[in-house]
Amino acid sequence: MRKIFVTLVTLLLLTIVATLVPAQDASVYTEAPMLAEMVAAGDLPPVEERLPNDPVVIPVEDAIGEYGGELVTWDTQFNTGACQLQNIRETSSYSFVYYNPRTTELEPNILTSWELSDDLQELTMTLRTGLHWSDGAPVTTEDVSFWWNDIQTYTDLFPTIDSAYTTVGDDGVAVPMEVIILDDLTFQFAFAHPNPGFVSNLSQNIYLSPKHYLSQFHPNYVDNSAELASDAGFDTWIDFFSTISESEIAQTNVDLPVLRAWVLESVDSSNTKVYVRNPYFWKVDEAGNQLPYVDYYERTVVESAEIGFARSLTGEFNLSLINLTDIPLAIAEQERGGFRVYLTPTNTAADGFAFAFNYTLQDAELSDVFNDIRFRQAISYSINRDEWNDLFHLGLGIPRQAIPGPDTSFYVDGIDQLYTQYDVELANQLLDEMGLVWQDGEDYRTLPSGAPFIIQTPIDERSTNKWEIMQQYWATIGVGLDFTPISPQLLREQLQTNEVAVGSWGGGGAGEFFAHSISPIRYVPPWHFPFLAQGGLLWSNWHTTGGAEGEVPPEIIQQLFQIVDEWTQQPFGSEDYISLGEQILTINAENLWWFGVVGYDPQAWIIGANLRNLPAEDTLVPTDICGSIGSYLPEQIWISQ
Amino acid sequence: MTSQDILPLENNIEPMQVAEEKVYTASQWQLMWWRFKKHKIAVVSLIILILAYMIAMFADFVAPHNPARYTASLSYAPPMQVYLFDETEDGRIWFRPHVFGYTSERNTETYALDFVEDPEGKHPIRLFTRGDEYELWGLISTDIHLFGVEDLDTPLLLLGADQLGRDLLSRIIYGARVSLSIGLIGVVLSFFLGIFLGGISGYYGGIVDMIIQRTIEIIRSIPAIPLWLTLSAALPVDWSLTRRYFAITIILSLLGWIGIARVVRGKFLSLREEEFVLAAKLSGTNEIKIIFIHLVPSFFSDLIARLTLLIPNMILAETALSFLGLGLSDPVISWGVLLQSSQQISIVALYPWLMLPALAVIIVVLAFNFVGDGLRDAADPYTR
Repeated sequence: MRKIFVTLVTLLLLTIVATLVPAQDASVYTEAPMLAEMVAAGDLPPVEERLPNDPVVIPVEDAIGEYGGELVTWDTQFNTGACQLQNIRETSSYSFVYYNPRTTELEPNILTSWELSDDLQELTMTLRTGLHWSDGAPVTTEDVSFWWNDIQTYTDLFPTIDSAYTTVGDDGVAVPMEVIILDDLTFQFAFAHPNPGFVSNLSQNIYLSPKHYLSQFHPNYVDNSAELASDAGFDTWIDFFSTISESEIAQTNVDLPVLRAWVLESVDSSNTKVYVRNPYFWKVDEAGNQLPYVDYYERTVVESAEIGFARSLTGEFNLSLINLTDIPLAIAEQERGGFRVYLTPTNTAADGFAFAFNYTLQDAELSDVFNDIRFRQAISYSINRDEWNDLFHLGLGIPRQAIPGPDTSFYVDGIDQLYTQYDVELANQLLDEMGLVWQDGEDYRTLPSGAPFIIQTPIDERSTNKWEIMQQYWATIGVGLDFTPISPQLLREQLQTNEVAVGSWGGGGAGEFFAHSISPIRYVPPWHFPFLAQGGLLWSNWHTTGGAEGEVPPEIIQQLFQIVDEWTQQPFGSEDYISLGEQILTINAENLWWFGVVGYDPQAWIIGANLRNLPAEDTLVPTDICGSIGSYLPEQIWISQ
Repeated sequence: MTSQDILPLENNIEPMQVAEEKVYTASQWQLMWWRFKKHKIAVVSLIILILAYMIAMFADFVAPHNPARYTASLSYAPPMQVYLFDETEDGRIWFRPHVFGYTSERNTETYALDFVEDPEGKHPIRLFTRGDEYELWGLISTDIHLFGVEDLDTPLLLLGADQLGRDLLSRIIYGARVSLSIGLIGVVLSFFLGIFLGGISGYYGGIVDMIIQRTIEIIRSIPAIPLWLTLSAALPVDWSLTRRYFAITIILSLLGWIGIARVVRGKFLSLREEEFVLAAKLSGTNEIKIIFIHLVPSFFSDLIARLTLLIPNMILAETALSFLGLGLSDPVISWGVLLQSSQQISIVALYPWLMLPALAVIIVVLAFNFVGDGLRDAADPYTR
């Protein structure tokens, strides 16, 4: 009996020891078979040496994966939309810090620490120890200094310094930041003025370039740079260097070392690109498997989005984005094509369709009407948002205003539902109160001048059928709409001129992260970038020129400008950030300058049936952060056999 | 020809019957009509064309609905089945065409709308029903339609509905207005330009001929589609879509006369040496008269054939260019615009009735070709 007990205890102890020992062992990390072969052949150092001392550990979505396989997606030839999955830019996955959309917090990535000084002027950052470029060279602050001194501030390449790296003081002068190298891994960005918002940028960018590779072609390091350029068939060194150093979607140089999960392996004549796993990728799963799981990533160029969709139906691609209105067909073909259709919520404030009236239109009579809140309320009440949702979004969107929604940290409950009820009677009552008489037998109301109330405007030809419906809604309240469909390029040009009566465009970019780290475009006039002004361009000019140009906005707009300016200076997530954010939303919602109809529509995907570790279907995939699914770390996707 | 030449022939026809004798006394137009009537397909085609143009003219009246009337619950509704016979309360079966309205529900798996006939909602199709109001040619305000159902909340969808739940049949009927008419002016213009320029080129010859022929060669070398693209970009932006397209067809017709001009020139070259031209010249007829009264009618058959081919060409051009996004586009309703949506694979696979406008194009173009064929035979009634 005693013997048995001792044996049992010994066995138990042995088991414990057996499970503990490998954890301290150096061989804790495993690698893909294709890399193991290269290691065995002596072409590659062992995985422990390739990984950083302390690799990033990813908690996988679903299950620890198996190595192998290929991700195949498509893109159109001229799509440079950097924020789409098709580009597998997955910036979020290899940016300086990782923005976790679930917790809305910033997590260590390439940087292990980053700290803003108390005066908000110095940002001190530390690189991960033992990080390697995809060719095995170590990543050090030399690469940061090269990026700044030999690229960003090298006047041949950048005649003026990108405004992202300058701060503007009270005197209106933009001063570039300084890059200070402290040691091999630590460096500092020093700003001339407080710049708390810069931290958010860390999740969208990397501020370094592979010096060991690019310096071979740079005049600061070699004498024959012009010769190298002409040998490679380029007219100027600038063209040559820009081409070989391009690391984003337009990359064509297969030799450029990168930090991404997959490295460009080949580009064919149709611009179809094949990427292969980065042997030095610096992330592992919880079991110590080096990521990514998938060996190859292919981006096939197709003639048009429609062809991309058609080919997706045959099961040719195992990862593609499709139009929401195409899902009935895709779902019907699921079994035959060996894929599944996948819907993820998004945070697009107003999908593909939002508009504002031009509050600074030169036609004084119309702009007076537009500036009356009762008119704007009436327009909103005349829109049957539920019907719209059925017609254009398969009933899957959310009828709402184009105000940031519940995923926003400073969301005010129900604020996106203000004035969204469908109430033609109330709308007509409001317009009657304004004195816009609607005589019997007339199609439209009469303006104070006696002219019929008809708004003429150009619109984007891609949304003509939406405007046809909008026209019928407005007709029920006696407001005429006479629109001319034009190409998006032409509309873009016209929107910059302050001559368009109704500015319309898609309604993305309202998410707080984009607003804070890039531009609060949806929070202030003209409710988009000035080159796509939706309305009130002259107010915006007044603000950007410090009152020198444009038109003096009403007090409420001045107040809004002030609050938004203050908000962008608050660190992400701070108490003031929240309370100012709430004020911004409230002012915008109550004044209803920018209209949405339906938003938060899901994004539809066609996914190979055996693809694993994608975010669960109810997970919000932010559409306004470059990377889309990139924010859920596509290196963890794997293909089950 | 002299009367002596004819006399021996008259002797030959003596045994023939009276009906056949009529042939020799009939006018040219009568002969043409008799000849045309023999071409059965051409006659049917002519009737189809007359009908098509009548429908286009009275589109508001013929179409059961306003083409803009939409119903969200009928998005992509399939064509309704028409039941011809109905049963009365006392069990007698009688002819009363009717349809059943749709109830729709969103399928929870595919997210498409599923349509079921509502057995309670029986709607007889009646003639001269009241429906959407319209103003015929901007003059007569009425709401009477050729046919339809009485309940306006249940649109009659004989050919199904588009994405916005609009009646496709009504849209095809309204589309005929634009598609059948927009090229006509251009065709007429290039027709007369062709005859005129080809005529003087062939009639006078020499330096005039040289200039016109070289001009034709230059124009021939201009590719049409890039020109079309450039023109649509160059026209004033504030023009409406129809006006813009109209302008483009006219400009193209200014280039489209060359085909006819070449034919006319060739004919003139051979005909101007004929004796009857010499006779006309000698009797002092002026040259314009010689061209249009004596020369042109002598090869009218060819011209008719060319004209009947030019019109469907214009219809096809509208369809093709609008389909490619270079011609008309929404909210203008034309057959080409209606066909734009059939570029989407979802529509081809799930909602194939939206390709029906193509059928309208095929029918009309074929009809034009058959009529042209019949006319060509008929236009020259003296040949056998």
